Amino acid sequence: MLQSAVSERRLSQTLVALSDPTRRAIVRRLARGEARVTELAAPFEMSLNAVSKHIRVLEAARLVVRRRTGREHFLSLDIAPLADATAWLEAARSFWGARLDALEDMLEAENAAGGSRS
Amino acid sequence: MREPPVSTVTARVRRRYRASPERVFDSWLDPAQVEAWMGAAARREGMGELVHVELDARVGGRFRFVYRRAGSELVQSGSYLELRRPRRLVFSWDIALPHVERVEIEITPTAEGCELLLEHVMDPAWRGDVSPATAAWASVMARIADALG
Repeated sequence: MLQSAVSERRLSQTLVALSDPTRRAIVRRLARGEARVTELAAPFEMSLNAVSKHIRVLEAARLVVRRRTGREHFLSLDIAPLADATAWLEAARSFWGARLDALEDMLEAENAAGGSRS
Repeated sequence: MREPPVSTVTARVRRRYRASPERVFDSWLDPAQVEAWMGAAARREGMGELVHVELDARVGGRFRFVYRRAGSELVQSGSYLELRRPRRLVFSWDIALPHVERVEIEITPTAEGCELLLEHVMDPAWRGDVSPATAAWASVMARIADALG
């Protein structure tokens, strides 16, 4: 039960973290490699402080990991929390995609037979 | 810190058909047609044979699809939540799991026929008490095959 509640909370955190466009942009940038906080903030028209808040949400969701070297903070992406959500998404898309294609086959066969009104 | 709001994951699939919205809508609720196209997809995927379709096409009514492969059975079931012919169809979706998912279908007319948008929505809050939501999510579709194999 406890394990279950923890998993649920984590997945929920992952989803909430990715529900914001700024945070998704940060994730996309980090997908290209490690970056400093200032580098991450540069493309955005918001304060460094505001960007830092977004980064903290991503860190809480374990999507972003921070490494300190002296006074410099480097951030990198950890995609492990995304695995559950993406596995489900891909499976669901492929499941329904196959069914909607089969529906098309059936409708087209009926169209060809001229049996049904369109 | 404030508790984050519960968030959902939605899988979207869109298709255009050369058939009227009514015809496409009805193909989801006529047992013989459901058996034909859902069964064809299941066979192609190696999921087994769709041997039985029963459905009660009204709000609150249930549906039950039974698949068979190598002597074992898998049941997909759910209930209809919204039926607004020919525009919108919403049903719950369970696959031998305690939690409930929801499928929403919107059908829009086009010059050639219609466009169908299917959204499969998943919410951690709908999780049952037995299995962890994450494990359930990751395995929902895989189970269709696994339960039979």
